[in-house]
Amino acid sequence: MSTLSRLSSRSDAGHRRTRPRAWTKKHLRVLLTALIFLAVPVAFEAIWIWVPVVQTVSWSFYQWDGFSAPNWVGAENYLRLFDDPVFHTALLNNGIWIVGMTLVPILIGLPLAVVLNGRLRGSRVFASIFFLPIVLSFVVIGLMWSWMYQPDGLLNAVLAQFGIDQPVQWLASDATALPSVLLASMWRHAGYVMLIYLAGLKTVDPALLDAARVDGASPWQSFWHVTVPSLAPVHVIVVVITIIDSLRAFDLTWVMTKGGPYNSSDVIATQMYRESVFNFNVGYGSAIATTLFALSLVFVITYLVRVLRKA
Amino acid sequence: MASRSPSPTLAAQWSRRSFLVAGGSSVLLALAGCAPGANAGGAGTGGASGPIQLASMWSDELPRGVVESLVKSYGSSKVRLSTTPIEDYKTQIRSFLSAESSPDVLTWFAGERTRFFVEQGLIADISEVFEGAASGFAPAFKSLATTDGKQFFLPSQWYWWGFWYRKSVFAENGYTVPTKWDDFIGLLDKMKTDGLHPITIGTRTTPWTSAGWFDYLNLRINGYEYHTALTAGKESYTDERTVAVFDKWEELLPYFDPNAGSYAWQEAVTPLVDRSAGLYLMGRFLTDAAPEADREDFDFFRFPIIDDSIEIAEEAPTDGYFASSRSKNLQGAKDLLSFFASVPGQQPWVEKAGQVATAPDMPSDLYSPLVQKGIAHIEGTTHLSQFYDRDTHPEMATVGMDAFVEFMANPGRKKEILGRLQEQAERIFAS
Repeated sequence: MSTLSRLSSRSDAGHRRTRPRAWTKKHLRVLLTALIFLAVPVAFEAIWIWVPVVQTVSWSFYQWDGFSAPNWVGAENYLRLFDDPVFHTALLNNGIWIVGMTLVPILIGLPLAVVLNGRLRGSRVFASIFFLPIVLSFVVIGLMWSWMYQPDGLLNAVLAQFGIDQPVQWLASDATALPSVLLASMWRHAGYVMLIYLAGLKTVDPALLDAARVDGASPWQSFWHVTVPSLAPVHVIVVVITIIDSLRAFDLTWVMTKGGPYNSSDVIATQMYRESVFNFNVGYGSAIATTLFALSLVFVITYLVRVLRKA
Repeated sequence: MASRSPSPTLAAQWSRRSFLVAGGSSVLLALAGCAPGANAGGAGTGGASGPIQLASMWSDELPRGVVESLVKSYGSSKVRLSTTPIEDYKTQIRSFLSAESSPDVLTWFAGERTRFFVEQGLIADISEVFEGAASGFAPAFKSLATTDGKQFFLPSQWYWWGFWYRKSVFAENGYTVPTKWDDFIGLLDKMKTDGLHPITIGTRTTPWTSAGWFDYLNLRINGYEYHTALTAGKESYTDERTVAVFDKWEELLPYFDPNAGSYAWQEAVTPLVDRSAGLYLMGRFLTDAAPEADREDFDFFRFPIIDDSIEIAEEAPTDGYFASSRSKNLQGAKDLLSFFASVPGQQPWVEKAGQVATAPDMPSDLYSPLVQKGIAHIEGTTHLSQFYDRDTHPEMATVGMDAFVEFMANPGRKKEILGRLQEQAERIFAS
């Protein structure tokens, strides 16, 4: 009872400026209901997101193998990042992921969406087909592409038709491993981007397109000068989602190359996993994770600000 | 930085404890998943009267069947088995061992991987078992189990390594088994002119296959003492003796299957089976990955001698069990280990999995002719190594094996790779 009265008096104080009337039981009940509804997601969020995040950040200042006494080392783990060539490769590779995953799937996904948005027969069937890769798990996609990249796999068989007999070692050479994994990821992502644009296109005002047509704009002109600018908010969402997806890239790389050969296709997440789980450098792994978290946070916040402002 | 965490020790305790809780619950989950009703009697943590909890990493069909039959013959009511896929087991064993409800007996690898846990005080002293059931074990196995004069590990079964080939391919082409290095190179050249890839290997996602080459070349060129000193971090990767190993390896690279880097180890067995490759340096389990109909056609020979003045050393990775120091029923755990030291406790390994038992009184007629040849192969050997990833620090193993793969693809970077390897070794062994 005392908690209730305290709660009510505090809320009462907060509302006095806007609404001088005293609080009724109904208001109290609404507030309580809201708190109860909030408590569940907040508890889940705290247990599975925020506690581990705080824990990871605190571990990143220790040298720790997972069970013996942790050793406080201050910022040493972070300093090591500066001269760890594997981390530099991983960071650069994440950058390449971001660029590749942004450009290629948008260049494929947006035109697809525009075409499928028109009065094309069977466009729903095509949309489903292009979206299908999203339904598959990353592990399945990784295995499927690994088989295509085998020395005697589909890709080399096609190349052999064009007279390239020496099999290309797609996943085994440090020159092709990263692009090969990235290609599989782009293939999956293009369908996703298409779907977002398809939804976005429904919001483009048809009156604008009609007006453009009346003014004699060619289909290309109305695409470039009407559709693309009207999709501005969708572009932002696509780019931010793509960047976040690229930063947390892990599954495909792990299934297809494990970051190899010799770390050439590593991304930050695979290096972090290897350090903390296989090499038992929980402290160093946590420092890598914290760095990745900080990088992601920049984009996550951008995204949230954007979404919340609209809401 | 320090001001953000006002009490580092408190934070450490707190985070350690939560980690233990997390680890403990994962064990409970694992046990619950594998043994429904495990917690029914509230005996989940295994009181002195409850069944012994046995955590096993032997998850492949064949070895898994072996462990299940062992549990059955010891008494299913006395042991509760939970099996974890081997690669997961390697990483989860730390949380198993630090959990409140640690399993009583765990399967594991001999060598540095065991010694590491002994030093952490996580493994119980089982010297008693070596005074009883395991008293007749060969000295080599006893020394494998020993740290500071006490025994902590029960070696149960082992296998050997060698060059595997198809007898029919050798017969058709008139090849003979080489014992000396020059004969070996001669054989590789002949295979090459016959249109074979002389050597197959698969390093994609299984870089450890390259470590077999490193181990053998180092054992043959510099000998066992130097090899163990190097894997223990007491010698340098930039030392001219180590460089000599990589020089020799470089001479061999043109004989490797050019697809080697694209295969995982099992996939690299295919060229051997379909006769497009000649040799595969691998452990006895290679034949498990070959079609059953072809297995009779496989044979092996010893890695050729490079320097006659060096005593012969072979890889003989040994697997076994240990008791957790947190076991609540240590006597029960030791009883189970005594069973695993006996002939009935090892026989299925011999009969079903083609491995070699450590029990000295195992009837030799249980061994197939191939395994008998493997035993003879090891008996004529002065020194036994475990394998690179069991003989060196776990992190060093990851870094080292990646470096070997990089070297195989880019022998021109040899100097740079070895320099980097030594830098890593210094950091890892200093911590």
